[in-house]
Amino acid sequence: MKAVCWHGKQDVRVDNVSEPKITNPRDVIIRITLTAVCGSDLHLYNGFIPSMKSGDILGHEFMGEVVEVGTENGLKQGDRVVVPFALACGNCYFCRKGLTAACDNSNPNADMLEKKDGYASSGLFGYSHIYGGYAGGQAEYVRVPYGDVGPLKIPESIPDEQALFLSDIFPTGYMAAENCNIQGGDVVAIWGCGSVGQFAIRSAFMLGAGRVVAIDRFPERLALARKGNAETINYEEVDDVVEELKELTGGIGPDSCIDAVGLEAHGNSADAYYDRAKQMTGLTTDRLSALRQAIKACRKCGTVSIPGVYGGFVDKMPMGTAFGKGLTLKMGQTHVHRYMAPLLKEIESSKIDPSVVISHRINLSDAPQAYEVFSNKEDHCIKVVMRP
Amino acid sequence: MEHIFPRIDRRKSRQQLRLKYGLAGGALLAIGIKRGSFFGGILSLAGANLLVKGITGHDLLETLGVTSFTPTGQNAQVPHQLGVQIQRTITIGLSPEDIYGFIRNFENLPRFMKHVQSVEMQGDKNAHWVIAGPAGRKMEWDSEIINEIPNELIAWQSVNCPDMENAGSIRLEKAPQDRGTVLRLSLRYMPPAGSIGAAIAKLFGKDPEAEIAADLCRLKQFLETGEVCTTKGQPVGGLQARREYERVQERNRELLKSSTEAITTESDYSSEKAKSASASGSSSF
Repeated sequence: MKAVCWHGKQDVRVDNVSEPKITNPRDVIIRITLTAVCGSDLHLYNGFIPSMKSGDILGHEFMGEVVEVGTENGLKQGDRVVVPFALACGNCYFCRKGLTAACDNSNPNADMLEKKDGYASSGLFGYSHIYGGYAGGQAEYVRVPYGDVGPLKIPESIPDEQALFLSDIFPTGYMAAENCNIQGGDVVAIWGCGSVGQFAIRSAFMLGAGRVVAIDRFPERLALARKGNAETINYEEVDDVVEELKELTGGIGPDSCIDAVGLEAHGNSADAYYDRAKQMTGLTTDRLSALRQAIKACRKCGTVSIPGVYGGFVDKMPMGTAFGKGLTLKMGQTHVHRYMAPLLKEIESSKIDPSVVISHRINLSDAPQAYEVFSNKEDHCIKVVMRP
Repeated sequence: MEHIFPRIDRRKSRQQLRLKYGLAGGALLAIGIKRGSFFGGILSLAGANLLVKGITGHDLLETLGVTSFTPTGQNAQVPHQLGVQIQRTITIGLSPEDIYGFIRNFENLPRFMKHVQSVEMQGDKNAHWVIAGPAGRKMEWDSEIINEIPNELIAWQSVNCPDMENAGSIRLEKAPQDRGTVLRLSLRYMPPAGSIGAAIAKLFGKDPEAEIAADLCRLKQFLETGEVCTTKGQPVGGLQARREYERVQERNRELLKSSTEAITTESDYSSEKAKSASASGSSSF
């Protein structure tokens, strides 16, 4: 079968590989009908995530049709399902509490992750060996362990393009907004108008926000944010985003801030150049100019919610500011499983159409060019979906 | 030596200093080699020691068992070279009764202990072990259970094993809230070739404590989910893909061949499996 494989920094190729097989009793095999490239895949593409090996299959956002089932688990051949990007066993303490991204049992390389984090969280599809090294879903077929826990059946009335983002970015944007602890009428500021930011905007309104202010530099992304009823700031056109937010909120500051940017933050401030210089010389791993602004801009006793992926260590993190203002920081990988069914209901009742973020529709064989275009934000690229 | 250097827990400071040790060691080694002569040799040895310490985190002196440099606390070296001691704790989401029922039958141990090839119970308290030891050697010994409290404790020791005397115990305790059971495993053994063998193995990355930790992780997975998570045999791209594909084809051919040949012995195999799957009904990994 064809699969998109990582071969090095900015070297992604479509290889011919063997098809996956049932290995454990709870596995299912899915024939993929639609898959996507995520912003976090770009961290793999640009070489920021360690423990990748040449030949690893990428992709953690995918959906399709069940073709083979290990044991009886409520799924049968022909079922149309979307699969969460994190693997969860459903039996451990964390899974039972709905914290599926912290599953104890789904990472075969738990010892590697324990060395870094103290305790190993769940395995992820197509996201390096430290997260389990599972073959990803930018391919024709994928093996999905714990098939009785992960996959969600999708009704025929919902097309692939509307259902696909239940695998990752819609729940991620929603959980980011939920973590803000929005009280009715609150102002939410969101850094990053990529697809996660777009869903965070719409989720914030779903959860009762009064105003959402979205910050980015790409006109097409800001336009899409405005379509979601957000007010926008282009940070390349204002002197100081933090001051601008203060003015917009009557001198108080936004009640909560969402960092939907993560470790590859771009910026034109002095601290952003500092981060880049340190990263190039290997003295730091992550860039955090977006997070610094979020912490500075947030009102006193507000919440900073961080869905943006961070991998290693950050330098010059304004802990003093965060402490001084009594901020709450909430972060982490999305516990996708608990949001999928409720969000599917929102899609079914036409409250939201997730396919609005799609800007490019391609074949799997065009994936290498798609990664380059997405990484360079060329051609008004927001979200790329691929058909195998 | 022990009176001059108090035995403090140096683990944290050692990790911070590792880069400095490595750099200093490399520099000393270079100077020593360049200088030549006896004094240069001493410098080289000191440099090599520091360099190894920087890279692996372990002293060369430590490998020779000079205990005053050995860190205290939970580790794999008992002072005064009395063998290797490992202690590890894990919380498993089952009741003490269910876990006890599973592990009391030592024949279940190979399902999650990577180096144990097989264990055969000979009566209620005795067992015969076959282990894949260091450097691929096969080792066998007998054990007897010397103490047990149902649902709380199993303790055993080896008999007839001069090569590698060993003893161990598993304690079970109910975990707080609804978290299940806390399992505490203690193992003690005299490795072949004494502590030098264990130390050299450690230098090359084979850490018995980490391997036991991985075994317990597999036990937890097996008991909580019915299987052990794996990515064995999954597709992979590039040059690896061609080789993997060919390997899978070869294995499928062999499986097909052996399944047609082994139809007459299938009933023996399934009764063997039924005997060893006492507490849980799932197949092994």
